[in-house]
Amino acid sequence: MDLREYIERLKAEGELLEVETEVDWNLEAAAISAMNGRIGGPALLFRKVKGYPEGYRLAGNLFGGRKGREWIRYAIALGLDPGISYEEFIGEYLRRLGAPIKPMVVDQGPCKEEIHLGKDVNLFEFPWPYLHQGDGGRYGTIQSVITKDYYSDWVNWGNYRAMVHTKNKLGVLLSRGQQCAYQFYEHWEPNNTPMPFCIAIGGDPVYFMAACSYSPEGVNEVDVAGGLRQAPIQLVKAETNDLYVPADCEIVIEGEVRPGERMDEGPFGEYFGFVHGPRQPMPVFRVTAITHRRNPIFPFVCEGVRGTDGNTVCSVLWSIALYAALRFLLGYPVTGVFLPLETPYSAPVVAVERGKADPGAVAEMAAYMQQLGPFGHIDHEIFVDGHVKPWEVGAWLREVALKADPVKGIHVSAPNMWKVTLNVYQTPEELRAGMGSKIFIDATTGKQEVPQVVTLRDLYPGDVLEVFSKGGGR
Amino acid sequence: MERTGYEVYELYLKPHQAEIESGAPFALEIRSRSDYRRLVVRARVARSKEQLANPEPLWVREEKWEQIQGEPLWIEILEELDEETVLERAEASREGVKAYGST
Repeated sequence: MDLREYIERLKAEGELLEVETEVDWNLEAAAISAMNGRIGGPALLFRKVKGYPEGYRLAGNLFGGRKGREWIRYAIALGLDPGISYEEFIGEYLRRLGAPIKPMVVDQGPCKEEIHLGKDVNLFEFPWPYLHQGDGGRYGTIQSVITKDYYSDWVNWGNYRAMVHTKNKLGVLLSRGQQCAYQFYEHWEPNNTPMPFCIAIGGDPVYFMAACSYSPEGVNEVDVAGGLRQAPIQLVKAETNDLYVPADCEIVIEGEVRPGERMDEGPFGEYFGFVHGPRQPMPVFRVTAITHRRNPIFPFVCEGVRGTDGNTVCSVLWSIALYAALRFLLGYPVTGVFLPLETPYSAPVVAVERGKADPGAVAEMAAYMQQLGPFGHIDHEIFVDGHVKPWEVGAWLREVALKADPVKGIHVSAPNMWKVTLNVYQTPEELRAGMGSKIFIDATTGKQEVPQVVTLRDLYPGDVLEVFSKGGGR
Repeated sequence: MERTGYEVYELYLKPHQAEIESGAPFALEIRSRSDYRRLVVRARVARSKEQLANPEPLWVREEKWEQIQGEPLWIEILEELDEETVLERAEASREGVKAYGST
């Protein structure tokens, strides 16, 4: 399934709105997408973009979701029934995550329909949207950044924002602690060697899901994508470096990131909801080739507002990945994990089965999430008892308010935890270091006895409730 | 007033107050408001358009949160420099950013 087939499936399921009226890449497409996302609207295909040739299209809200059913489009992307429950989706997603499939190399692919090399490269050929008033430039936000490790065969696919500087240069946000950043800052740059770099835009929707997955260091996300698709992903060799890219992509940008080179990147209206960024010197992606499909579709995410693709990938997929890691990899008695849309990326809620966790288990889980680079966006962790559904915000808020000891329940970490450089409260020193403190809130009761909970069913006689019920009450 | 023309960070301008006052040209990194392309130019910058022969608006991203707030300065681009040009950041501009995170 490539992006075009995915869009057709969205249409067939009533999850697509095709916009025939011309839109401006400069804020207008983003504004429509942002408003659409906030009300849980359909995916959007903008068929005419101001200043761009007929056939060049923008696509937004591809992975946003209907309110309360944010997993629907991910289900469609996996070829599942969109009526599937979240619990069923979790089961199928985990099954596929656990069965990665190696890719296959092919000679040709649609992404090579048009090839621009060297001086013919012009990033402005494509309608990179200007997403928020105040952004430092035009951004690509939904894409697979493909890089290979200096010392091994590990190839990382990650979704990192990229800002257009000039017709052949992009600034890429490489936050310390993230895997691509690790490859560059710790391996390529110290060896004074340019890092081959590709950005693959569009293609099979599982690329976005794989690039956003919490795959450990050394795991090739293309194998994860193959598992999610249940078939080998077809790769073709890039024109100007030794990386391999998905053959069905809409656009592939090739080049290198040179050691020691920086240009200012940001500000950007990031997923935390502030046009902040902040502006920082970031590595420069020098573009040596662009290949693309004819009449390409350029997908985008207007970050920073509730219900966008970035928001749902966090809530729908990362929650499952965290649940799998804590329950199956580490063996803790976790009954559910959720990163609520209301706390963008920052605050996972973990439900722990009462009486089953060893003393110290909550602190161990917290330390695991606090210390790993890919979890750099997490800075507040909330632990509640296992009967609570972590996706019910009111339920876990009540638990925190009633069960978290204001002193003993709040735990502050050491100041050297990996942190994305996007929080508004970070000092310039913390931004440069990519580190800071985190907290976890322990609202679990563990093995401690708790008094009778006040519920109608438990505290009042059945005949009283029956009378109430007959009177129309619930 | 529609924000056409160019934009620049206040922190990029800070080291050039003397040139702005005297009307002397200097090298500056700006972005076009038409397509958000990065440009490195040799230009004159003035507070009033009457001070320049071919003035275009230069919107300033203020130090705090780096957003455009007020009325524009004016710029006369004398020469577009090679895009490979990376201007050395003056220490003064680094000092100014401690409160807001941008570097």
